[in-house]
Amino acid sequence: MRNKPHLGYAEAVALVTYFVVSKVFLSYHLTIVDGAATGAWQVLLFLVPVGGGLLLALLVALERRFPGLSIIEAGEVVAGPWLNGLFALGYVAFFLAVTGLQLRQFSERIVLGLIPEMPVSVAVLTFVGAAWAAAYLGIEGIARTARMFFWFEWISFAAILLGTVTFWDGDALWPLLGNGPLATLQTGAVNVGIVSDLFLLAVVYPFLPAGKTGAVGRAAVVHSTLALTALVLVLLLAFPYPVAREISLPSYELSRLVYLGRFGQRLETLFVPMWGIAALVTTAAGLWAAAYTISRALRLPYWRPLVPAVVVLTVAVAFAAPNVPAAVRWDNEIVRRLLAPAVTFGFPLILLLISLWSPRKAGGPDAGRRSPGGKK
Amino acid sequence: MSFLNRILRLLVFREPGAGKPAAAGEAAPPDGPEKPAGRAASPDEVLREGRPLSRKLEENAGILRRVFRVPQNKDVVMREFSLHTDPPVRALAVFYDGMTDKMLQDMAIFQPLMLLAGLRPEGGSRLLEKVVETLLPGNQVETVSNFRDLVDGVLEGSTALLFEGLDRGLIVETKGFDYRGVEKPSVEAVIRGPQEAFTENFRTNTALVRRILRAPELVTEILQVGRVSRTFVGVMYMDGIASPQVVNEVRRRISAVKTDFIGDSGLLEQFIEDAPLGLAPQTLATERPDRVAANLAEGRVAILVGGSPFALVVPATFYSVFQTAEDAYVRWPWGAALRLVRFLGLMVALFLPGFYVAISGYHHEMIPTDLLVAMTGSRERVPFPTVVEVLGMDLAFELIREAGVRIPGTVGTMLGIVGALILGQAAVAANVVSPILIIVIALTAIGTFAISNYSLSLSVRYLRFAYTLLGAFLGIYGLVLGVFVHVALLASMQSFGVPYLAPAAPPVRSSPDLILRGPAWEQEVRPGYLDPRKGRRQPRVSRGWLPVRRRGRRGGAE
Repeated sequence: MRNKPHLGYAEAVALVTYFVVSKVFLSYHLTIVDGAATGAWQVLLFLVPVGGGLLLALLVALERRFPGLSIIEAGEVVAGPWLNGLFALGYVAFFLAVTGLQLRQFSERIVLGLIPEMPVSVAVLTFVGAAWAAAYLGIEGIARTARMFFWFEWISFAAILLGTVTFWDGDALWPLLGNGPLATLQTGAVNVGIVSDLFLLAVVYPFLPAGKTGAVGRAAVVHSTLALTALVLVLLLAFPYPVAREISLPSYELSRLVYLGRFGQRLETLFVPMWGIAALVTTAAGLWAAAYTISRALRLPYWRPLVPAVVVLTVAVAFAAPNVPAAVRWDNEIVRRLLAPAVTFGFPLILLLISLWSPRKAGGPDAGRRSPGGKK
Repeated sequence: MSFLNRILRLLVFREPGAGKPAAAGEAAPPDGPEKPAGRAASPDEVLREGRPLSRKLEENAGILRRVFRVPQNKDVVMREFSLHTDPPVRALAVFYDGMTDKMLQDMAIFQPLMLLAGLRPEGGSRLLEKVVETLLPGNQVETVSNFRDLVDGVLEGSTALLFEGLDRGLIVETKGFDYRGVEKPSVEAVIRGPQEAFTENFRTNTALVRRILRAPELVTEILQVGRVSRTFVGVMYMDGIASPQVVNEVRRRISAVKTDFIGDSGLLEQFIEDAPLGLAPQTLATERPDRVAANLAEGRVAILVGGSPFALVVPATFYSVFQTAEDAYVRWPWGAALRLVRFLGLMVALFLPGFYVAISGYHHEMIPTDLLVAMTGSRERVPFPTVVEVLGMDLAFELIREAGVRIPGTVGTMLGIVGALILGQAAVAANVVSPILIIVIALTAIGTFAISNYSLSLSVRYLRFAYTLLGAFLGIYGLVLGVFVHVALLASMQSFGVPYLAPAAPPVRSSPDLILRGPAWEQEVRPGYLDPRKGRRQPRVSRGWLPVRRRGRRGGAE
């Protein structure tokens, strides 16, 4: 029977979209609303398609030069084992940082919104335990799970946004350009790391249908643009800008607003499956991606034995932040502004430039070692 | 090295010399001690080696006596007689008493051979041909040349015939044992649709399917599994529709099963399923020939097991296990509605107790105030936490159900009534449980009954306890963790190479026939995940009687 994982178009779109979009349930909006004020939604409307499109173009160009290879294997062909080792370290650091800090934020959200008596360590460990189980099953299982819940997530998300319609105030969006076009562009440029999660595509290249990477990325960018922009837009419609700046979990606060009469209020718990599943898929994908990247970089035939080690590192990152504001700040201001752009935009660009400069280093799967992606 | 070995032996408490490799010439045969020279071959060896028949009738009879453990074994009849030839030829008939049709034997074997033969004694093979061609009117007569085939024929209920001077025998089909007749389905009952179920008789079952699918492409391959039971296992598929890879995989797995006994398809299922620890059935067990036929026409493979009134259909997906035959037999809006109701039942059966424990323990804000007051009031005198109440009542219910199944007939029904009504009422009156919990458990039980597949129902029944505990410890968050891991496990499962959640994840071309179902005239293609040789089931315009202007885009309506 077949061993190599295979991701179909729809599963890949769902997986990458979750990986990019799950931050709608966290505090990604803070730096953007801070920078662009009432024009924050325009930042996302331009940032996600443009930034995402740029990253996607870079990744697709690299994939075309090295069909059938993940970015780690392609990097070894282009840059050699030592330089690529540094790059791989960057990729792993990116996945660990993003997954670890998000794990902490999601766990804090569980404590804050669901079970205040629960120690955050219990939330982190139970959460990462479930994600570990899915990561251990492999990227195929994670992607199919993502696909199973994809439209359920969209419908629930739309229900939250539309459920607050009675609280919308169109005047709250004025001044329409917020702090001005320059501030909008500047905020967008600084926060380009928000779309860096698209980089997951570069790791799952070998498992995608041939020639579909671009299409998968485009669909993920469209879904991400819609979700990330809609949340900030509705947040600004429902809460005045000064209040919106102070809200740390916008989707949670919006869900608390939903009021459908006497028997349909305080429904935020009903939306737990929505953000919970999204967070679990993202964490599982992050764990898998880190383990897979390490195995490829070290030329190990199996990635499964690395999952426990990756889980330990991720939990360590999650607890590195002394408290949740620190975790949010690290995520928004260090990972998204420095590490993510450098790793996800910078490294692929360097690889592409080297491969363009030295065309003989480009090629198909035979250019480097063959992808042993099937071994688990 | 020898010193190290001694130390090792001391450490593991082994006697000196134990485990020492045997010297040349001391090697024991794998099956036990070597037989003494000149000893007759054991019955097992005779069968395993397929020893050829001898020309001497007495020698053959002697071997058969050993094989069938005669005279201890009183079931076997070894009837010696003479052919009505001149001079007479001695013959031997071997059969199991009770497994053969006596009338058929008398009329179609003994009477012609003993009274009507009238043959001239001719050369060996000529005699055999004459007997087969002119004297045995039985519908199946097979010539065999070794003991293994001969014994297999007798075990199946046929009569074996041996003749003096011939090293070949005959197997005449005389099966005549009693078996249960075709009855109504007891597990998969429907209101609309065929009312026939499989029986324990293998050939009856194949005929029930073949009677529905009157196509020469319907192939039944027969394998035997079980060293002792030698159970017939039929692999049925539509040649030209079913994927050859799937058929080969089914054949390969069944052929590779090495066990003594296969008494039912449920046992075989455990030997051939992909994930023995999987949380859901990976084969579709059905007692309905019409359901098997429909699945065969879709491109699946059916496995019929001798002695089992349940056939297995593979590859199975969650949706195929979830559906019932009746969904297709009623008009499509109601078929879709029935499935929705059943899906609701599945959700209730799986999550309701856990959800109740979670919201009553952690998420009071979700409950409308009036209901919350009523719930709190009803729980005021109950001395246990909610989770203990739920687990206790759930266990009590499982106990009642299990006892109800094991107790015969009407007593079982009585037990259900006594258990459910009186015990529940008494528990509430004694303030052991709250009234609202009785409603929760009753709804859960009804939800379980709505699941048509018994294996899926069992899976749901016991996973419910896990969800209850998750709800008790972690509230709704715990339920979400459980659902995520559950779905991830299902999404990673395969049934004979087909993803278990197909065609939803991964999405594959399929007709509208999942949780909801579309009209029969829209079921145009076979499920793509089965990789059928013929993808299309019916043309785009399947209702050919419609005037052209009314055929519409989908071929069925305007």
